[in-house]
Amino acid sequence: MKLLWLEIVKLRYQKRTWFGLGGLAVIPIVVTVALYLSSGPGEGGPTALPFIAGALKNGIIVPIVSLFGLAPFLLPLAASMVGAFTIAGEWETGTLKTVLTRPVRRGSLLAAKWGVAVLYVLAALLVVFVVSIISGAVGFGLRDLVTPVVSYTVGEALWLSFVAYLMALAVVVSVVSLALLFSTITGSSLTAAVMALVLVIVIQILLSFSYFDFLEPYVFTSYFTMWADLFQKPIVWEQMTRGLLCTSAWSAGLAGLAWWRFRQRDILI
Amino acid sequence: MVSDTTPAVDATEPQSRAPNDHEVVLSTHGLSKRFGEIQAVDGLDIVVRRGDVYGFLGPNGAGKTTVIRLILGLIWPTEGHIEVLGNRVPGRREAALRHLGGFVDDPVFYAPMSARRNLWLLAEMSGHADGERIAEVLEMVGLSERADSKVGGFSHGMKQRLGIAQALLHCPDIIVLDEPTSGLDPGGMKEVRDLIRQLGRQGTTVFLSSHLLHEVELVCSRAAIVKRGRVIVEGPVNELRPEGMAVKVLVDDRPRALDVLRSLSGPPPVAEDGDHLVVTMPDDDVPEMVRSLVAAEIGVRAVVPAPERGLEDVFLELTGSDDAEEAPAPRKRRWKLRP
Repeated sequence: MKLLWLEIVKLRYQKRTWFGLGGLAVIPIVVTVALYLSSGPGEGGPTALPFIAGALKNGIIVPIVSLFGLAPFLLPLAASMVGAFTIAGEWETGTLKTVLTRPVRRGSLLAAKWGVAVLYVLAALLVVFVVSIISGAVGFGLRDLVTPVVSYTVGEALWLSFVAYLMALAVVVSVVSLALLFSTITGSSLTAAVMALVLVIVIQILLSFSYFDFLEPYVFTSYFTMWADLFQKPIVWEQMTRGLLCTSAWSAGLAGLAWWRFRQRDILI
Repeated sequence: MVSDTTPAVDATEPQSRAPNDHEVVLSTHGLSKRFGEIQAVDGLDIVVRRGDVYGFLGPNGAGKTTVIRLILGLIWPTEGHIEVLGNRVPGRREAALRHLGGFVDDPVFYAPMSARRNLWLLAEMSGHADGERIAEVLEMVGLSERADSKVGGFSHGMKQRLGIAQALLHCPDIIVLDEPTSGLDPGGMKEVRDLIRQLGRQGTTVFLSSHLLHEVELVCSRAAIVKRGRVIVEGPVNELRPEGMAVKVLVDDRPRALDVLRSLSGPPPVAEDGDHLVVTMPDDDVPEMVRSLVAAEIGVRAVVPAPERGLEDVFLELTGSDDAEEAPAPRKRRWKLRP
């Protein structure tokens, strides 16, 4: 736990920490402006989601539209970068050897770094969530969400949106763990981030072919938007339960591999 | 102030030591490390005892840094192991590291943080940071005034000293320093050497690598000379010095003097330099040689030290000539006045 705290201290000193959060915070504002300028739902994309399509001029949908917009690319990107910087970032500057000459368990260090990466993406999601609500409220005001399909009070809609963000976190953690693994293999944060991101994208491309349909339930990339099921009445849990199990298994497996790899890695910097 | 040309003073100085003097604090046992085709460390056995300032001397590429990485548990040995006060490395790496402090290559810190903040962070990682101790080690290495400046703006020498401060932080039994004076200007070198000497006087065990024989002579009490990952010579530094020093002897009767010198048991190398004979022998043996000459009724007019044979030359002789098939055998003292 102490190592986790020390990692947070280190993170605070890095400029990219704040740039990352700031960059993601811009997204909901862009989304709000786009909604403001649009006269009706676009083809495909978030505005076509049935449970919001009828209420595009309501600030309450901004969190959901933002999350939907982030899910396919920017969230995996952010997660890849955060996961890649864990070990490789310190590897590149040379501070990793300084840290490892202290009596610290390598496993504990890795766990702390994984923990801080997860906390960082959680913080990023919360920032997006909060900024979405504020910018939605400023742009349109927050009203009850009433569409031909569903109707929610403001409170219900916010609560469901919040749970949706947490569901998205589960998938993002898998990406973080994947990047963490590459981070312990390459020692270059850029390489690790690119490898993780490319892998996530390649899997998504492959899954769009029917031949690979059988894989779909078992790959974490299938679940970036699993939270959409929250907005059915009644909520359909099946897909989300499977998603949570699947992403947790991937996260644990990938982080475990990273741990195994890091413990026996020669640190030659 | 100890001048940089004074030979290893501490080696001969009586030191106030802990009761468990001469306890082995660090040893390697058949330590080997192979990187693909390259055998970086090859069956290394060394023993460091409490209170030693141990010099690990060798040319660049001899495997010094690799050995330090192995000791600090940064890399895994291919064969063999290290023992630090009963803790085997790599098996009990963390336990061993509680007794060790040090750095490998150049010490690196978090550039955006102050020196004090860096030490705080590193101390917290391995236990509890003690503000007083941090101030103390910063004072020891002369960085008190810059303690709150960002490390990013530090000179190489300052980082090097901060590295030593970091190594001392948790009062370890042994500090391990990798070429602590490399890349420093003469002033910086002297500061770091004085600091290490001072640590040695206080009874801290120091293990340091260097490619400068001169440096090892200045600060170390024991040393090992390594080449291609193997120890060539090991022992107290004053015994590692090249086979004695050269003295110029001016005598009445040179041919007879030569006979006398050659009749000494294990005759020392003698060369003629003008009117002088140049005899190379340990300085302790010089009085005995003079006595023999006098006993043979040869008039000894002068005995003066000849310009010293470069120590670096001897070091090069031992470690150089990589083209030779076999590493040159350690030159043993073949001559002795007394058996």
